[in-house]
Amino acid sequence: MKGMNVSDTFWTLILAVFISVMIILGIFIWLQIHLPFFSTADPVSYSIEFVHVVNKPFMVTEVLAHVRFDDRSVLEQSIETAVTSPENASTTSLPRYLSDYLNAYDLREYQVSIKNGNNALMSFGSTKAKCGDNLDNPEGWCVSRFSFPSGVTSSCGTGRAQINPTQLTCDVTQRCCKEDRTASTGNTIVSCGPSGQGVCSEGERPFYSWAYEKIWGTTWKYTCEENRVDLGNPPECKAANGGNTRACCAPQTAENEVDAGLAVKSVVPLQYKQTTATLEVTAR
Amino acid sequence: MKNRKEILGLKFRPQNFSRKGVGTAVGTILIIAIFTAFFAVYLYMANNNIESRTKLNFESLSLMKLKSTFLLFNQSLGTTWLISTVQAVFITGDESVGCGKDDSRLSEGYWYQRRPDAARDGQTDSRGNPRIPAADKYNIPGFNPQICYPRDQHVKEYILKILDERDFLRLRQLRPEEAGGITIIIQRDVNDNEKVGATINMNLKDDRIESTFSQKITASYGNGVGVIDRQTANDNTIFTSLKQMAAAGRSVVESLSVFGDGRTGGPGPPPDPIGYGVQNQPSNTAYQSVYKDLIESTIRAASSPIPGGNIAIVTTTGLEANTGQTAGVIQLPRSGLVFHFVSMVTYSEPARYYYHNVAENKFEKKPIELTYKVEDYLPALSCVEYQEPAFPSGIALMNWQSPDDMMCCAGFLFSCGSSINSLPSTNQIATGGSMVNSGSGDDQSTCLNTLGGRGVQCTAAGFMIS
Repeated sequence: MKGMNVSDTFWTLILAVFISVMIILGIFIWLQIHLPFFSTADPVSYSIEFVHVVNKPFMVTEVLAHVRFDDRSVLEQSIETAVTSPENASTTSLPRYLSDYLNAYDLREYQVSIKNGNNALMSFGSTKAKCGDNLDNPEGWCVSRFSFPSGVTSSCGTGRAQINPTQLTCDVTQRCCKEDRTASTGNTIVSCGPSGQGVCSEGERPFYSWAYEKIWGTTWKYTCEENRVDLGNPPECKAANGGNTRACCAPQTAENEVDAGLAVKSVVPLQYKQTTATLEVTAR
Repeated sequence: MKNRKEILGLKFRPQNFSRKGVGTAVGTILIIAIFTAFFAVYLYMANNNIESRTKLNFESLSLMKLKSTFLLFNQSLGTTWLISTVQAVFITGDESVGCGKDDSRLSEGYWYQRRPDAARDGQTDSRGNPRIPAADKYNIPGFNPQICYPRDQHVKEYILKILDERDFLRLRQLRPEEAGGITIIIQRDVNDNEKVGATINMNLKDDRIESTFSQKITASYGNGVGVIDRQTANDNTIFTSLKQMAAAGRSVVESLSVFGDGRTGGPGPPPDPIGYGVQNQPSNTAYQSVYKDLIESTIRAASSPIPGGNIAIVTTTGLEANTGQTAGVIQLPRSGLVFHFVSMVTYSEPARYYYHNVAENKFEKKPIELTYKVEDYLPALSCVEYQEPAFPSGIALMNWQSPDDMMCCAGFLFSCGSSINSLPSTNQIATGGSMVNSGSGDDQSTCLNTLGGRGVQCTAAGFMIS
């Protein structure tokens, strides 16, 4: 130190400021990502994910529109199903074919429906995170017993019940949870969401959230249990069950995901004579 | 050794600031301020960039949705046209290319039909009109036989007619919720707002039918913010040998019309195998069977090679005494037998496409077929043709149900102990009975007069002439 001159001091300062800025920047970004008062979503990842999410169902539909199963294209089978029924159009094996086909793609979730108005003539989806005894339409979702950073979860959440299927089971680290508003969890069932599709549930929050609330004086955002559609923390849930069920959670169906803005639905009109139906594909 | 403050350049002296220390401190503060300003600008720009990207993404969402929905709908519409064209081809084949349906000069489904009450025309009628129409679908009204002769152009026209008249073009305008919020409008037909204004080009080839549907589609969202307005074309190919089937059917019509020419119902030998056949068959059933085989082999030969690979012929035959209703076949009533046949010919190919069974509302896989009918009346036996010297007194014994139980005599037909359709009872002699000469000029008297006093008895062994 004895021989340090003005230039040494200057560069020491530069280094110190640089390190400080980096630390501030790092903290700022961390805060921006994690703390609710900065942003509820990560804009950067959102931006990247956005195009992907929007494109995916259309890409899947585009692929399906060119695929032939047995001796007809998917669109042919879809139109003929819409005009008659899966049995009368000899298309009862279409869901199985399409599931096998789509499972080859790395889709997190998908749902394919042929609808005539509100009447679903055929509907099937991904069974990747599903469980249950109904193999065509498994009734439950696999939910991790342990979740970071909230720790070990004790239940499926309010409005869901644990089931023990024998056909399509989850791995040992998961439990199978079925949406069931009649299930008793000790909490009162309170409907929530724009059309009452959700249930106020305990949700999940990290172990340090209580400290956050103490320091900042604001409430931590509760997120839904795994494989449920998070509809936020509406006022009706904050007041429900003594503030213990603040997360509004809806079943993870394609409709709920689309309503919540988590997924986009591709709708292809199917027409034949006076019949008009739709082929709807939701993919994430 | 310098203390901590000296190292940082902040040489603080409580009593007196040196000019150098102040300058260093100000410089440091300035550097921090500049870094902070840069950092703020960076954050501002980064956030702005993210915001603008997000806004752009929302625009992209709508545009991508519009573009993708438009393209997918166009593809779906192409499939609609494919299914519709397949149905139109099925119907065209099943309805015999509309023969007899779009014109009443023939019965429905007939390509060749003779009226038995009028004389048969040859290659041309008395006014020089051809039996086989030169370019029209039908020969002129009143021609006997009446012929439907659908050429490729007529097959194509009938498929287009089916598409137009059987609701295949009556696609409902879509509501936005049926297209994911996108407003899609297909241009309508100028004469019928219920129909899609599609231009259809069709090309019949030996092994396929190629079609192109062209229509204008407009897709938009957000009150015309994003609009796609395009003339789209959907090409489809249906693999069928309908063209060859129609050609085979026309060939059959030509063969059968020639086959019926010049028949008299007189005695054989060939080239009049009909009359010859009656004379030599053990019964009328056997005769009809032989004749049925003859007709069907003629149809098969004319159809060869069988288009699509399969042919099914269902022939019904009849043999009865001639009456006034069949005077065009054999002029003098009760003087012979008229052979009548109706053959339903069906060409079919391996099942590739699904047919919409409207009655049961089912789509079922079935072969594309072409079905048509041919009908003719031919003189099987004309007693007038059995004359001396080969047949003295015009008597010829033949078999109806058993040997010698049918007889031509003086140009009239008689039966013994058996019933011949349409033959008056006066010409049907019961077993053990005899002909009676009443002198009134009836058929029995004419026969006996020709025999010059000889009698005719009907025995268990047939007619006996004493």
